[in-house]
Amino acid sequence: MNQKYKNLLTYSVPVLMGFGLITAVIWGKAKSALADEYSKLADEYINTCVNSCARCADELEDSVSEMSISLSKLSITHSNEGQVLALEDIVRESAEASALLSRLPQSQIKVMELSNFLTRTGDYARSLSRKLLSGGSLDEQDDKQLSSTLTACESLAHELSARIANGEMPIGTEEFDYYDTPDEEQAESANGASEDEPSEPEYPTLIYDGPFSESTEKAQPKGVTGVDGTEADAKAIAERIAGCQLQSSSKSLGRIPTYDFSGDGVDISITVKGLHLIRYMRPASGTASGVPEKAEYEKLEKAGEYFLSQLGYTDMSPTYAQYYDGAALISYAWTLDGALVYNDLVKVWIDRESHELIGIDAQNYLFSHHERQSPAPSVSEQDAAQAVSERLSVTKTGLAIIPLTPQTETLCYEFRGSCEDSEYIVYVNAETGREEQIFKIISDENGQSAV
Amino acid sequence: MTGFKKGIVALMLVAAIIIPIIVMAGSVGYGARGDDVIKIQKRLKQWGYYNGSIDGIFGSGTLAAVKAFQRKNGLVVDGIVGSKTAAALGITLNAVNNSGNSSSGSGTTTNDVYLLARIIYGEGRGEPYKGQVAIGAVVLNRVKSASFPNTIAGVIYQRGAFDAVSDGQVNLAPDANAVKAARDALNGWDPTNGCLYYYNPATATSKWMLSRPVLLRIGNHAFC
Repeated sequence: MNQKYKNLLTYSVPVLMGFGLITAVIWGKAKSALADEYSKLADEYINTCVNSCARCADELEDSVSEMSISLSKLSITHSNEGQVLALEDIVRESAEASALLSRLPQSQIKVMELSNFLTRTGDYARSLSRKLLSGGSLDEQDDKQLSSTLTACESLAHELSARIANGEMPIGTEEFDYYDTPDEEQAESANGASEDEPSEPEYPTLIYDGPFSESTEKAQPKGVTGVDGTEADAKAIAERIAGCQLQSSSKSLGRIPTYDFSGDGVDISITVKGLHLIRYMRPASGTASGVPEKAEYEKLEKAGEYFLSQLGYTDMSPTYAQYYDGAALISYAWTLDGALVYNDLVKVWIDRESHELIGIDAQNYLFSHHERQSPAPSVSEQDAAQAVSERLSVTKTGLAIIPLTPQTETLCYEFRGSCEDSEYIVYVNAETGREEQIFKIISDENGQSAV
Repeated sequence: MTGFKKGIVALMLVAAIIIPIIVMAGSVGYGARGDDVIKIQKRLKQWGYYNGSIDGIFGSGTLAAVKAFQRKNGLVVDGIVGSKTAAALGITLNAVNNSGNSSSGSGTTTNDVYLLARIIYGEGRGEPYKGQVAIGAVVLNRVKSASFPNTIAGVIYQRGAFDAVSDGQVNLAPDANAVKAARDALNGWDPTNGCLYYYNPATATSKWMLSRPVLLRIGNHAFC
């Protein structure tokens, strides 16, 4: 019995070990084949990424070169038409260049100045093209700015092509680092300055009026009037509006400094200067969505107007409405002698179930509201209508003051109408009789918006 | 015995016919077909809950996706798309009044809402609601700034801009709260008052970032 057991052990152990060894070898082979496959796959992915970055870099260099060619052509173009065409080329090339730049694996802080330059050059070109189309011409300042932009663009194109020729990716893509790397301190001590410092601005400053211009970024609010109030007074106002006890949560120092309060699901901000309500938000009680019936809409609109008048806003007219998450969001524009002032917008959220006020956003209004001259169109409505396409069957006409650029407004006639199942709003300048802007109304399950 | 069996079969047949009819009145469930199901499937697919085909038939795949969506969003997990689930999905059911189907030309807008909701969820779930809207607002403020890419996707996918993109959390399916925060941000609500950056003071290491003046704090984030 014992002997038999011993025999079994002597034979079975080597057999089992041999078996185990064979299994291990086969398993190892399979694993290494799999590892090979993975590393091949990884190489393929890395190559794809590197190639797509290389392509971006090449195309970025192309776009910047084309930009400088268009800028140099512009400098010797004499006709208005030729200048507009060159400017529109610059608009397109700069948009391409900034899109390509954003695809390079670079931290934003490193490419910030370059991005500013590319975007603003296009934005500036667009503003000049508008100016020419409305009968203006390029002045001395424009010539100066365009020539320094051309110089900057040419040297940028040179630098990019030299880097690509040297096998470098443009703007130092070789260091694959995020700006939150822990070894930043080392980089700093080695180079004397942090790797994450934005590069020195080497691009010209462009003075113009456009959505991306520096002056727009630094614009000061016009509608925040009054003297600085205390936090205690702000809290009393906030609690009266919210109808509940609130805690002070923070003081916000953004473009319009505010006292912020919260509690009971409510968030509310009151401006430091003048103690105006700027933002108020609390959750809706229901989950209703979708565009309401006309009767319900009228009730919601009335409710919105009532809350606005309670808050001291008079002469506000409803414009667009959106419906989501149990709330109706109606945007009201200030109305000056019958003309809608689209910049002075207050957004009001109303609960679909209780018809109570659940949100206010007066940021736009507080930013741009100021005394304006009463609208006095020099073109008659009939004459303005001549500028509207015959394809549009007009259903409603009115006056409106609209932003043409971030810092200028124009009095326009507003023609609402439809063409082939789509709704549009056409704005015709009430001074010149020229067509200024066209919006298409997008209607969906969440309401209406204009694009 | 056989009579009993027959009775059960008959009862099941009746139930099979009646239940969908009841369900169709204002809500959509297993076995339903039509435009509403297409709408539900499209949205679930877009939001990463469903990967079957958009065939307009409420089958087991759609049922599982609806349940997963309900579980994630704190709704009653019954697999039926009623008014609450439809609202959370951001769709309106036409089951009763089959009025004209509005053109779905706003596809880009829906995608923007969803992408913004994903970054909000990836970066800020666990933050107070206002802090979630603030994340969306920072993205939109960047779109409007010359220093950043000029599209929502460009800003979100810019290298190193958001940790949730670097580590893949941006691909998680967002909850209804994040979608609402994205909508509020797109509708102009900016609790940050124009800020372009935020960071968590407990974990941030970038000297450049830390040197910027903090304009406000919401939850765990400092905005600047």
